Amino acid sequence: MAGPGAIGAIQSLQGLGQVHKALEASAPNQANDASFAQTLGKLVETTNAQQIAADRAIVGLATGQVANIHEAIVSAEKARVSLEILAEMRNKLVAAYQEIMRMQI
Amino acid sequence: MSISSLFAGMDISATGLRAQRVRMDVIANNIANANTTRTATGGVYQRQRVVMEEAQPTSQAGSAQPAASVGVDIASVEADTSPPRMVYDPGHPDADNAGFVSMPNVNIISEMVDMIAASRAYEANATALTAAKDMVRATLSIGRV
Repeated sequence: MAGPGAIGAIQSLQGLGQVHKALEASAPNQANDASFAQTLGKLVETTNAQQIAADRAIVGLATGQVANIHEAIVSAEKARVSLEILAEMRNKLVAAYQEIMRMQI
Repeated sequence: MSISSLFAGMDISATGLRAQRVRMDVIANNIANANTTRTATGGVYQRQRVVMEEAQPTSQAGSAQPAASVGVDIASVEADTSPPRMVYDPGHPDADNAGFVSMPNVNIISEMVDMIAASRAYEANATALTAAKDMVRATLSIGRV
């Protein structure tokens, strides 16, 4: 009774292997092959830029330089969402690190 | 592909918000000047209307992908050239020899309807902006355990 299930599981494992091979094959073909550290650095930079833009927008609103209130709100929301993305990335990174450190040697 | 492309939807909706705000300002100006018979250019006030155009995307050199739409722009604010409303009021300082005064071609009722349309369109853009933001946050919530 367990036969078909087990075969299915093996087949799905093979499927995953193929996906992995496909990923390995496609990865070097990408033109701009940025390292993970560079990507994360860029993310931090972008988030920082968003925070600065939001700060400027709020100051501009207070001093009357920004005429449209929605511009300030939109840049504040952008800053918030990009900070959430950055925090999520950091959480994933730390979780992966901790997972590796827990490994039995 | 950068993180700022996540916010393209928010930027597009922001241009819509700005356009509707300008439209609202123009409508308010029309209502305020519904009885104005003198203007800086001389003659009676003419109803102003907003002309909108699709914003031109800044095409990136060497990019194979067609540039996406980037929202709406105010092309111009132009005068409605329909004839003024003639009102018989011989005592008015701006009355002509026959006693008729040219009043602005502003119809308060249609301005009010336009105003409702503008405020609803503003709400629609605000809702689209919130939806774009919520989509990004929903994507983040996939990763949470």
